[in-house]
Amino acid sequence: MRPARAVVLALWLGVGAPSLAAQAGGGSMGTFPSLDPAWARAWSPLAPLADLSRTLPQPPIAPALLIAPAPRVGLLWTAGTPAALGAEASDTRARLGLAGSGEGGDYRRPLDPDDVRSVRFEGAGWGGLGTNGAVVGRVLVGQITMDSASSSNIAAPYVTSPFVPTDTTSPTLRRVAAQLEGGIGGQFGGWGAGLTLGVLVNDDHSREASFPRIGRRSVPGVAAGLSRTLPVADLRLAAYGRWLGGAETLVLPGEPQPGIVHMLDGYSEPDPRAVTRTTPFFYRTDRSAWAGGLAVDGRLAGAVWTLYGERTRRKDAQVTDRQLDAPTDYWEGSGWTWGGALQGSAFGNRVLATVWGRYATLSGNATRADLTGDIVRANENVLDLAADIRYTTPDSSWQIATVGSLRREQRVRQDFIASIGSDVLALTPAVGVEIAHGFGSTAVSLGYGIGGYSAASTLPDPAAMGDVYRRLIGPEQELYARRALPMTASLTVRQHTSARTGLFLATRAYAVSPMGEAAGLTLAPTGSRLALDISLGVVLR
Amino acid sequence: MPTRAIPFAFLARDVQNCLSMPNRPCSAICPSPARRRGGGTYTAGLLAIWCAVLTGAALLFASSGAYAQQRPGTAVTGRVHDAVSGAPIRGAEVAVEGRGIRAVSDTAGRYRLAGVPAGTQILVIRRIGYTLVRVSVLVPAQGTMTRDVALAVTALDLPEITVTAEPAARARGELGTASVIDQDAIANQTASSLLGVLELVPGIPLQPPGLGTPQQFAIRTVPTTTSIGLTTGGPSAADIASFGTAIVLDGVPLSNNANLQTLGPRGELALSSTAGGGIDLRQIPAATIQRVEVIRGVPSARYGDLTQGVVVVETRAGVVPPVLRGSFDANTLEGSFVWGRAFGNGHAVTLDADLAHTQIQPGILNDDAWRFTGQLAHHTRFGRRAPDDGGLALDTRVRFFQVLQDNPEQPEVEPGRASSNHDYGLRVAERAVVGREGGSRLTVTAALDAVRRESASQQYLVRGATPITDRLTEGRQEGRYVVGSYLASARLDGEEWNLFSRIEGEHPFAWLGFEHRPVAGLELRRDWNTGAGYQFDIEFPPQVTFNGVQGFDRPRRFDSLPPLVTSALYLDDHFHRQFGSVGLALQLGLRLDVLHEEGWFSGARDALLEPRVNAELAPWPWFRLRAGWGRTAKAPGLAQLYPEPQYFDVVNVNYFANDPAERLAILTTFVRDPTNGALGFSTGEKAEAGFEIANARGDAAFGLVAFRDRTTDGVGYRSEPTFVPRDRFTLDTTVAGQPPVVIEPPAATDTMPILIDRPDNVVTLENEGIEGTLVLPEIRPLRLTLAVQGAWISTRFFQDGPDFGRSFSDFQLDPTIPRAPYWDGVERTGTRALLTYRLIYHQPRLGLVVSGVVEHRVKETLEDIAATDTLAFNGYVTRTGQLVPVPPEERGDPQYADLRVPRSGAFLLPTETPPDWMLSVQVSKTLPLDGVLRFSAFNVLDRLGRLGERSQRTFPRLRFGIEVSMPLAGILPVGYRGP
Repeated sequence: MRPARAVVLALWLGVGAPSLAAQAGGGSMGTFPSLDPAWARAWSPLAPLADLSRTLPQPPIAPALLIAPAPRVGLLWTAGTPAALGAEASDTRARLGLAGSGEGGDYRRPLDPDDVRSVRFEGAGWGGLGTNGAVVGRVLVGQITMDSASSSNIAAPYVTSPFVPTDTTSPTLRRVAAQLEGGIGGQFGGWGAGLTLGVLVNDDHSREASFPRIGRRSVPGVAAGLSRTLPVADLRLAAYGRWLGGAETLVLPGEPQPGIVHMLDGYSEPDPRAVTRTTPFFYRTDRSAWAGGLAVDGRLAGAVWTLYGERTRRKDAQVTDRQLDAPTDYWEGSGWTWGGALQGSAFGNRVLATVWGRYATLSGNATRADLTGDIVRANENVLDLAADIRYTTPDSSWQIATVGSLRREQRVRQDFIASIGSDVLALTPAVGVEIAHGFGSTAVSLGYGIGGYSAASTLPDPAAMGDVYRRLIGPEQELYARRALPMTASLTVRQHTSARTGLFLATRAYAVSPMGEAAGLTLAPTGSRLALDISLGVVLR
Repeated sequence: MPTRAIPFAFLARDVQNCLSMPNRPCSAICPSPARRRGGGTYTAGLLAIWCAVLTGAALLFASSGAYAQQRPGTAVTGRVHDAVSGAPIRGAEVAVEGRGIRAVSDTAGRYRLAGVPAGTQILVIRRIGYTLVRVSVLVPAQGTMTRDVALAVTALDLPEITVTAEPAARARGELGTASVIDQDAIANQTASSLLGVLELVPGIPLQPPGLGTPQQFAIRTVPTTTSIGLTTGGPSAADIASFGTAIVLDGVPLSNNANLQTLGPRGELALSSTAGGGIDLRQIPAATIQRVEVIRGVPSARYGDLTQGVVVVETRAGVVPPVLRGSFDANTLEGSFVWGRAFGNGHAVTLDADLAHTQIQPGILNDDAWRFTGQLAHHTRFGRRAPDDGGLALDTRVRFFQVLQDNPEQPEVEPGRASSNHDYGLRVAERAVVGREGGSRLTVTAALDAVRRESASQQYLVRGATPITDRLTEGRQEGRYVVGSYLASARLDGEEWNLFSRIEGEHPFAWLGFEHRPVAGLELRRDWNTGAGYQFDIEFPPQVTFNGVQGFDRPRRFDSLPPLVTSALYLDDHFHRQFGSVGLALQLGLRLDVLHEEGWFSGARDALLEPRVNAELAPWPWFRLRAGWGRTAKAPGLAQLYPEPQYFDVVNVNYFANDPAERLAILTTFVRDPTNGALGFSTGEKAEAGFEIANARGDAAFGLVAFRDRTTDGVGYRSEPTFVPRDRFTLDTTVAGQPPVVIEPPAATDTMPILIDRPDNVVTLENEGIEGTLVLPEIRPLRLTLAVQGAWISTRFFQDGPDFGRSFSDFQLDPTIPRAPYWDGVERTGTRALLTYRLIYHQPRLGLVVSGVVEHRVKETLEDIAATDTLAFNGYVTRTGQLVPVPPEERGDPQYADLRVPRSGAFLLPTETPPDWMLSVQVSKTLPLDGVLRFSAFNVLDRLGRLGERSQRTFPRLRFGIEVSMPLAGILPVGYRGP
């Protein structure tokens, strides 16, 4: 799609909806975009751990005025610990909906699919249970069709781990995916306890492919926490732990036509591996990540604040043979995550201001079964800052929200086989606005958001690299080295059928295209990328 | 052929004496070993016995009902109320299952049941507009107990819900060990068909949903290795066990006895079929099932044609609020609908339909399976009274199914290979029940099943220069050659028919302080097959194993086969008495199964008398000791009674010249009929003993049962050695460009040993083990329930008769080999210990049920036991097919040096798979408008399975999907306003 067309379409649709790509890479772990704002997904036991996935440049997080409630700050909604579930999710809120989305355009990374279409059913909600308890849950089931799916053989190739199996084909791929998560918590005197469980599963298979591809993935997650209210300044202290597993399996039968597999493990040129009917390809990776953290929240001068910090670790193991003591490659990482939020109101609660901050670091190293020592080391850190200020008129007929965000990410990688490294430091400031107006029982909102991505990069010289690097890695590197303009727009209509029930139709668009000259960047993608998402559902309170 | 013990011969003699039939051989009823099969005509004797018993049953039914309603026992009272609002519910029917005790709640929701026997009982509460509720109660020996019951539109809103097999339930009218699975548990299963529901039976591994392959079920059996590689084929342990597991659908048994969809032991092409095994359970969708009872112990005498046990399936019928249901996973898409409404004058019509599609190997092959089932049920009552109160009721079922499995050709993968299997079935069943006050009833059941099966398979076969003949009769003729590659195809078109009828009388009465519920009945069954049969182009035969002696099959029509006709007579009494706080229940039954020659009025080919006993002693209401022993019988299948003729095409001249014009093949065809006129019933002997403990609320129970099931005289294929002569000719090859001239008479004649695979009662299947269930009471604060079930099962499977091994083929063809060794058969064994833990979280306020199921494979072993050393041979077979045994002490003698060869064949060394586990989850949640959303994930962690030194377990892969059910009660009427 031409950049101009994308911009026009985005402008026409209006408002700051969340970036599809951002959400796909974040909260939904590569399955579907979500209508929920980031704070409403903080409790998810499936949120990535010890992994800083790379996404396309993002505009700001959307307020979603007519669908989501006002932002919340707390041990549950900011730090994600289920210890505070009973205290913070005692009101009732639920949403059910059907949605369809499409995404396409040339401005993409080599392991991204070309065109993507999806349909999904989504339900999410929380509510009190008895006098001291609360539950929260979310289910998401749908199907994604990827025309000219990427060379990647795994569902989420842009994670920090360098291990990515690829092949030389790009068939149409059908992915059926489901995500189910829920939690329960309660308050017992000054104590709070909670547990969340979840699983993400997907089943992939190619369609009418001469070199079929069959994959599946299961990502279970669990989190538990304990909180204690302190008799000082409304302070609450929480300790929590999380575990995120994962098993991903790939089978390439190698018939009717043979194919070639490349096991990417950094910047070095991988050996081609022939896959035929008699030598089919089996790949399995088992992932495990842990986190332990402390969080504290309280009130200060009428404002609510939360701070948290957690230690994260990860170990992934991959094999390409199913036998006893099969040679295993490992990716191990560890890091810290620090975050916090502050929320205050003014003018009789007609103005609500919320700011968030999160800083995550990750250091990892990869080893291969057939080599001694590390083959790749990575050091990455990501800083996210965001603000949401919203105003509601006294008669509640108008609402306006402005959002701003800043992302700073630094990714340093050293490949010891290729004896080469890379260093990318990127900044993405963004702003957005959403305006909603009620017409009796009907309300309409328009939103728009725009950001600017820029980076200072030190990259390998493609001319000195192998063919696989130039085809599968280099274009991504150069995409991140070039300036880009991400934008979002949204249009939402909500119809109240009763005091507690509303139907909604939400349309969101996301566009991103490069900016400026691509001096010296021979592999960088051009064109633009556009995504469109339409949801129809019901909100229950 | 081995002989076997005759059960209760004295009973048979008594019957004979009583009926004064000195000129009718009593062996029709209980024959001596030598005469039991293939005997003469016993028609008059059998008819006389039947008439006598029927007359007795009718007299029982017609006698005045001295059995009054004033039963001894406890009164159960309570209140029926709405689970959500708490409001009383009027007009709910509360009944004690299997006891004929019922009451209707009044305007305050109150009910009272009188005369309820002590011990664990099941209360069944129904009310239109609410889900059916079953409540287990532990009734004291005397006094009154109170049990309030909540009803809800959706079971998830109920304070109690059972999503496992009911911990203390019995199958209706049965005392033997059973698993009872009701609708709530069925709905919570990730199941496309009945097989998925049966995972709730102890010892049954979890299986992913789908319709990709034929589905069979066997009770209390571990599948062992098959005989492939050792002999020419034959049934496996799983085949025998599933063939001997009866499936009863809505009161009428399904039959697989006339299924002929097999290509025979020498076929090379593949077909998906359950011929020779059990019913293909894909035809019964889980979505339309109301209740399943799996009788694993000794069934009552009402059930026949089985060796392992019975699965009783009840589909939804009567007044059923309309529900539309759809499910979706990566492989399968399914939709179903059920709606039953009442009409005036006591009529109710129920419609259910189910449509499902499965991609069998998506992404790899274009193979898929479709299923459509539909049923129309009509229930009518004449007059205002129910049969229990002396009324007449008719129940009519018309059921249709089709299961279509297609594996289309994929030219890029393997040109030519394709197969399909299309099954279409239609069943019409009618059941009339007439009752008398006091609980007597007479039930007449008649059903006709028709199943059309269309199977086709094709693939390219590659042959060297192979002479073939298309001769259909014995004799010699010139043949032709097939050379190179050709597309072989075969097609089987068969129509299976099964006629079932039963008349049964039931008359409860009290005698000697015992409450008796005797049942007597007569069953008539007829299975037959019609259709074009096994068809192929004889020019391109589909077999491969032609070696110059074993011949090619020939096309065969199915409608030329005689029918399989059986009849049965049974008497069963289930009686119990309370001695203070001690309860005693007994069930005694006697069943006579008769396998007829051709028709019900022809002679008996085989007969078996089957006593069955179950006893239960409850020293306290919460503790029950149980034991049972019984004998069962299973008729052989039509394919076994009337096997296809075996053709032996002996090559006399094989002159394959480079010039096709000079080639000459002459073959002599011999036709051998492997029919075994003495083939009779397989016999099952079942024994079990165990105990059960239940808590006062009836929501917790622990039970343990040890069993030993033995199927003897199972039908296998006995390799019978004999020979055919082969003439050798001198050829005159002097004329170029023409075939050689055969010079008569034959220059020489030698003998060719052959093996005739004759169906015979030679297979034994032994299963023993322990089954246990444990259901702990709900941990109220956490709303958690733990249910554990497990089984340890050990299976032995072997066949009588010699095994000739693979070297027999060389012996056939090489006239210089004077003899070949034979060995004892192989004993195949398997052991499995399986524990299944179900952790259930139920929160009725949210309408939420989350269940996690851990399948723990504690132990799995497989081993083929056979002597393979050079002294293991039992004797030798000569070129004229004579068996000459060699005593063990002589097998080392020099004269037998040629027989001391290593035994060939594929033997499985002992394998033990490491312990392992797998987790599956189901989440059910109510939706607005009383809908329900279910998410399920099978093997949710996608565990592959641990690898062992010599074994490689692979768990079925991760599967997941959702299901949405939406009631349409506000759109479609049910036409019933309640009592």
